[in-house]
Amino acid sequence: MQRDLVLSAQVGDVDAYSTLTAGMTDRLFAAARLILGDSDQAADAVQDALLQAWLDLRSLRDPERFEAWMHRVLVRTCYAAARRNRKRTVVEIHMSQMVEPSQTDSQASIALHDQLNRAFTRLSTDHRTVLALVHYLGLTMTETASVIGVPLGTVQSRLSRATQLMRAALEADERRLAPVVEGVR
Amino acid sequence: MNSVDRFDVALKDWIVRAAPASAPPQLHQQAMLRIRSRRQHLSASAAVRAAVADSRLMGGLRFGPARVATVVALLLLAALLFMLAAGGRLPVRPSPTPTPAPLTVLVGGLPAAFTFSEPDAATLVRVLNTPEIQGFADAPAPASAVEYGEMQRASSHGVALGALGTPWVHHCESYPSDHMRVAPADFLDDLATASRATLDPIIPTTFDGHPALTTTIWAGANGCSPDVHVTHGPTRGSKYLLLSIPSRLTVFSVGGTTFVLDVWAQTDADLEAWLPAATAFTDSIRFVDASTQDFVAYLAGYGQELTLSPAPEGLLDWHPAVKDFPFPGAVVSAATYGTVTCFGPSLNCATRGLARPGASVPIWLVTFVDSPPAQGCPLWATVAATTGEFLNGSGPPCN
Repeated sequence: MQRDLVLSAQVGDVDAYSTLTAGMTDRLFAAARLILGDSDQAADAVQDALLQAWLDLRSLRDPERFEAWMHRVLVRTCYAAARRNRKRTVVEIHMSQMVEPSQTDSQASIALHDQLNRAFTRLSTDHRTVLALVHYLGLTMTETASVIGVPLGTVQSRLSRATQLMRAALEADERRLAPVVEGVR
Repeated sequence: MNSVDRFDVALKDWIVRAAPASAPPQLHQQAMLRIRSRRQHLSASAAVRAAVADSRLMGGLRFGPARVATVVALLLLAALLFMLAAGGRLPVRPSPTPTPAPLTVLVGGLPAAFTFSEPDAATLVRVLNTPEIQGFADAPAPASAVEYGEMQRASSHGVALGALGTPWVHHCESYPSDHMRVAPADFLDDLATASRATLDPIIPTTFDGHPALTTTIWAGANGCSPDVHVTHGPTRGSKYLLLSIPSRLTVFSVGGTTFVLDVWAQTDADLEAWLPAATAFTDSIRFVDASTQDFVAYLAGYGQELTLSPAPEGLLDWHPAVKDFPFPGAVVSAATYGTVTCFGPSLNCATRGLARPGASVPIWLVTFVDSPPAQGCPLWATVAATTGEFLNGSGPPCN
């Protein structure tokens, strides 16, 4: 089914392309949001990716690889958005919290959640990208290397480093918060 | 399960929960609206792809530092001798020291924004507005032309300003080369060495106050390369300038980007005749300050541009709108009147930036002096010229 839609889209069938991509937009947006940390930029990146993929679709030689190829296009547009954002901060654009904890979360879980939020926001785009691709999209290391366009060893070291940084940030937060908690007791 | 495993599981669990469950409403629909107005790119030939892949495997040609240094030294010596002899087929004069110019069109598509005085439409029209090449020619672009090289073939003469990404030129050898180097002297050196193009002596000059090098390639002197690709190798979407027609090339750097100014015509005689008028036009090009550059880059990202013009009478005062922006005590460096329009409706003009498709939005662009609180950020604000309202702006914190 997907193969037929890709083949139709490759000869200019916009409706086929729309059907093909409608079901993946939520996941693309979620991945972009994790990589960029901002909903507006993520929405722009997904739109750019959908447009770029449409323009370049005829270069895709294996229709079965459409989804992996789409991920690669998305990562490219996310990096472009991140570069644009480094160059300027426009006051109409605001960074927002990654996610709000639910009411049922315990206090400890809320604290952990906030710590992870802060730590994740402080990671570089390279590190957030690897975490999003591996842990959110569920790609293997090899697939991630192909999507990002770097050697497998680079992905492995980035993933390891990103995890280390998250852990270190959590530990630093805990050390910083500990005296306050003790004082309350 | 050890602590590392537990942390990995907790991290994965958090990432999955942190990701939004759904995209904003209409996101996919809006993307499809943009797509419906765009035609897919044609498939590049498999041969070119294979050739480029082969070149990556082979590593392409490489030149040792000694050879490069020798060639650069010889070029510099040749340039010095040429200047001492005051010879040369065509005189090269530095562009004048920057002076206030009549501002008309502010172009933000390239990595460094610039203004130019609109030429007489009978002489020169802008035929291409892309982030890689701003192209002008004596005739409107034919409908079939997508790349500037195709527009050059369909016109008598013109001017192009190209921003170098990872440029590439055809080699005399049978396989593609690595990218060219981008420093002005290196770029010209690679052009001559790789394609065996015969360049006129390379003359140091200036362009808009920036150090520059200039040379001319006459008809038939282009060696093995019909063109030079300014963006990347000869794969899909690569932007190129023809070398197979007479061209006066001026290469210089602004804000970390190397630019190639190409004044061209179809014959040697045409180029000699065209150069004086072309130079009058290119002398009107002025690169803008960092704040204005930042603003036009922001606009260009959403397919919009600012055209500057004298402010009409009776506009509201812009000062109150930027009081205490971007921070108390910020000092205004300039306020410029202009009109924002959408030139690329497919680039989110409908929802982003200042001008919706078909609309003209008159604004004041206010820029500020880079004082300590600015922390090196580009500082600007926009004010609606008709209502005096603050529209948007940029300032610290600067990423």
